[in-house]
Amino acid sequence: MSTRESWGTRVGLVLAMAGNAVGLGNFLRFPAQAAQNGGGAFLIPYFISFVLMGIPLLWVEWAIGRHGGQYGHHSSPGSFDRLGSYWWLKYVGTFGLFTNLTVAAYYCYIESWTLSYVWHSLAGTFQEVDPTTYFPEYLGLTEGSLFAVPVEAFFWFVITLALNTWILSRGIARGIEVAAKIGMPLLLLFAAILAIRGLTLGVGTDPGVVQSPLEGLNFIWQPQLAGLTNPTTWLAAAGQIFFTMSVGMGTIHCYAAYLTENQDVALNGAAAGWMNEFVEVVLGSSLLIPIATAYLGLQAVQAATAGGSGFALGFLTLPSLFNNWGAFAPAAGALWFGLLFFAGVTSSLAMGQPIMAFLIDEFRLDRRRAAMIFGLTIFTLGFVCVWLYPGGAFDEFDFWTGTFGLVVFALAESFIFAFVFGMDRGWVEITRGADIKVPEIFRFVIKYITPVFILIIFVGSLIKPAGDWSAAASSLAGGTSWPLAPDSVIGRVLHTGVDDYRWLTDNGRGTTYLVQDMTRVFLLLVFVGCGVLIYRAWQLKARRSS
Amino acid sequence: MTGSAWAMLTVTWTVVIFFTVRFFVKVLRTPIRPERVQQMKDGILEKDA
Repeated sequence: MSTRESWGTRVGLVLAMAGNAVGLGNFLRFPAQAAQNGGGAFLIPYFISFVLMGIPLLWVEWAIGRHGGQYGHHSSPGSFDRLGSYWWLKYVGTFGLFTNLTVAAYYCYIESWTLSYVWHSLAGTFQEVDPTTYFPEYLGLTEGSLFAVPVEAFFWFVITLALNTWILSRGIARGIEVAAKIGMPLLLLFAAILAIRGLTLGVGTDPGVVQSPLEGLNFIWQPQLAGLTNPTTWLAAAGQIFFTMSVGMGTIHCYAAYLTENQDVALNGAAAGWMNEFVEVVLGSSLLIPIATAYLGLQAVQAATAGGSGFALGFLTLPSLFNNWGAFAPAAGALWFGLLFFAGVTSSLAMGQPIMAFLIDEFRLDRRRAAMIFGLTIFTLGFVCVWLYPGGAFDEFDFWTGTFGLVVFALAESFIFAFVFGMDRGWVEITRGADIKVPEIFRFVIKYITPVFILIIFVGSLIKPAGDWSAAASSLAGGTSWPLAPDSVIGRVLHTGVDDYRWLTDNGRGTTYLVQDMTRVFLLLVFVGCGVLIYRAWQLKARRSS
Repeated sequence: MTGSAWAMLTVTWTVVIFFTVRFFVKVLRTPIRPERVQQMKDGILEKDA
């Protein structure tokens, strides 16, 4: 049977690619990051990073994907194998399997929360119970244990995973593309309705409003130019661009692999990238913080977003604030969590397809069997996240695979594209069939600037200091050691800042450190397992061709 | 909102909306290459089916 699928329409492809990039972070992370890192001034390094790293990486990944697709490879091991003659190139693609498997596991869990909250909003649950106490109970966090068996959360996780698996089993044109064509317009519509309602709230005219929502907008957009001289602002902006574009995952390679040799990647990549920016910068900044500011006041919102995440505000606070909207409250909640669900599902489908493609291309499985294997694998990995959520397994998945793993993969691919595949061939790949003229300067940017940009993010994440970079540098210059932040990569490995590091308590019960370390070992085994699968696939391929 | 916040918001939104619309309209105007339409059936290339 044929394994060669294709996109049905170009708009479908661009919407699917934009849907891949648009995620919960566009609405929950971006506004908080912007507000905490210089407000309007944050947007300067943000857009510089977009032009020098985001757009070039998009084009690199589209080009690598389309190139691999011409040889029948729609997942990163095969795509990378075709970039040169070195045997190890296919193993760089291990990241493209590992990251998608492990991120999909916890991402489907988050996605299931949004689906569940759509239901609860419509059912009026948040008019009766306080969301701030409901959410920890929903996740099983109140049991005082390292383990949780949250029956309802698990039920919604299974429903969400089944939906993803079913859509993936329908294929590219009939499954993913249809989902993107439905999900993306609805996401834009829901966000527009909420933004208009939220930004027109008035003190004295709407019940419960204590401050103008424009004060919230001001909080995000007021340029604090001092932030521009702070390396933390630059790293935060570059990091935000990195994660919002969904680069370094292998999803873009996969989607682009379903193009033919002369189909455009330059315009498609730019269109998908800018659509993501529209959702993030225009819509993302107009919802969470302005609405929360209107009802809670700016001070409370500043405190709630101090860590650079709007997650708590989105899940714990907003559902109760919508109660002020009277008869519209259930619909408002459904619109908010509905748009988050659409943002999530279009991303999780993009994570599923590379796994499907790997199984179909390299192991000759049919689509339905590949979808079943994907579903069962994510169920198993996701169970670890659900079950060990209170012990911190979820956060470990998020950091090592959804944060650090992306940077490592993107760093490797940017160097391989420029120096192994070669920039001359790379430029031909990017510009062949292009429906826009790609400025020649990007040839230089892709070869030198983008890899260095990612290298800086990589090193920054390794040695991120506790507190200010300049203070840390002075501390080092003064002969004291570099004050590693507990959330830096090295700080996490060494459990920096932990006074009482041990796996078992005095009475023999496991600690969160035991769960964290075991999760890391588990993730390492999954990574090795992906590598073994690639080895086995190439063994089979050699046997078939001999 | 302060004047500088309005200025930052207006400039940024204008740039983002301009490029988003420009590229998306261009995509809409060139939906798919003609040879692909002839070769495709239900999203699958006929030569591969």
